[in-house]
Amino acid sequence: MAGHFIRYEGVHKSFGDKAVLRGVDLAIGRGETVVVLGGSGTGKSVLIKHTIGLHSPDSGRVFVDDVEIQEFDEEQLIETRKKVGMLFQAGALFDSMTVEDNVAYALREHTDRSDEEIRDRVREVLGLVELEDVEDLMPASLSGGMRKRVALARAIALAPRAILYDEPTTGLDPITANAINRLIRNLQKRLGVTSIVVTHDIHSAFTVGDRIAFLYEGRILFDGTVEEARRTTEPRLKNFLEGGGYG
Amino acid sequence: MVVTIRIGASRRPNGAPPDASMGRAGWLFAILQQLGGMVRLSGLTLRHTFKRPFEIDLWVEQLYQLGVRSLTITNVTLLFTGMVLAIQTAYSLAAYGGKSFVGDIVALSVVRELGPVLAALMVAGRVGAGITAELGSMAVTEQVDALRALAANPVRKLVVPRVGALVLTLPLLTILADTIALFGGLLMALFEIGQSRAYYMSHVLGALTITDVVSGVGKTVFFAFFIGVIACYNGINTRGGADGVGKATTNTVVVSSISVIISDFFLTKMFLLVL
Repeated sequence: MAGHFIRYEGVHKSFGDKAVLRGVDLAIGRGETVVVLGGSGTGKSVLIKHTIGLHSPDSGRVFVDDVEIQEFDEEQLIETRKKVGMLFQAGALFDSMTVEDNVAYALREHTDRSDEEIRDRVREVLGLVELEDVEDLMPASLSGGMRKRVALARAIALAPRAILYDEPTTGLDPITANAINRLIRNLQKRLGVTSIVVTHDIHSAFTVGDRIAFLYEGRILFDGTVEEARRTTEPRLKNFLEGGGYG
Repeated sequence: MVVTIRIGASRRPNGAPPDASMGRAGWLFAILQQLGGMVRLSGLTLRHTFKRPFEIDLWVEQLYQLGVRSLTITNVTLLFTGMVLAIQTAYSLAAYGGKSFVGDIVALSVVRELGPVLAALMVAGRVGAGITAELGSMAVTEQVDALRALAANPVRKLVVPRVGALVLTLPLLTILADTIALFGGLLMALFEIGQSRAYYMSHVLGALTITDVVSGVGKTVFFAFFIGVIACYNGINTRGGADGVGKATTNTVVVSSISVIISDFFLTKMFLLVL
């Protein structure tokens, strides 16, 4: 469907004997933010990694910007990966490089910009994530929250049309987590990008999401607006939201 | 078909060696899977090595890290090997008049066999383990996935410069280490065996032919490629945190050392046939 930027159709994925995804159907509209909610180890991260070919499904189809990508090889995936940025759970910053080199990586790899233009763009995206004067620091000297911000700056440096957030607030104190939630919201407003946020942090889910998709036993059990999720009568989602487990 | 480096890694972490709990069929499957992955990575590495643009900065960095920084370990190893070989030859063959052939035996043993194999084993230990530990740490902290997510190719960025630097430097390290081993033999000839420098050197140079040098150094090109591919494959496919990095690193040292020893036999046969 033309209105969707990302679409998963019947995605199955197993690791050995463990079936992680058992037929996921989910579509994310252009400019929309969908939160994929679910407990630890339910395959949320595995699902979004299919979007840029970090995993390929055992069966099912994955569409990004109306292009079916699950059969693509590394070379064919380049264009898709330029369109979709990803924030990894622990940042995944290249620890042998400075902040500037991390953020500039994709710009140097995929654009013909001069060094000066790249420096300007690095400063600009670091400004978007509310960081300044950190260009020369090494990742090891950054706090958890700063690492996430730098990783986010790196993900948006190429001005992608979609951003995937893998547990953006995990491991952060509540104040920093709120700051990251606010940042995600601001980026959505300013950049108008399509977003998928994978989390088990319910507060974060309700803060940043337009829609909630609840992943349970490898399938999307609930898909609705934030308000619908709040008023849900689906017992397993209700229990999850109330912190009582899956029931 | 999706081409990834992580061939089969979704079923079993390649960094982890097969274990007893897998059963005979599972064990065989895991080995074949690992072997298939390495063959495939070899193909990708060769393909990307000659593809522009060349990553000159990365190559230079790896030439230093893998080549220059291995000088001490290969040279010290071969210096003492040359010295030991000279003494052992002189004393064990003394009864047969073999003392006079110390130069010949040291030269042929070192240049044809001991130099290439010992240098490769030292490099497999130092460099192979280092590559797997580095790439393994990157893999378990999702840095390899981050590289792919940024639309960069890990084979081009991580594997090609390391394998390429190894293939370029191991032959050079071997030539230098061979020379130092011959020097070690000379020291023993002068101070332990009582030969003159001219006598020892005339036997060394008289025994060696260009074929000996080519077959000895030629083998190291293959050794370097095997070590590089095994180390990179295990590193990139590491799973399971620090424990996984440890297992993958051990696996690299074991598999690459055995590969050097086994392939040495076949390469020796091949060079004997070809040269």
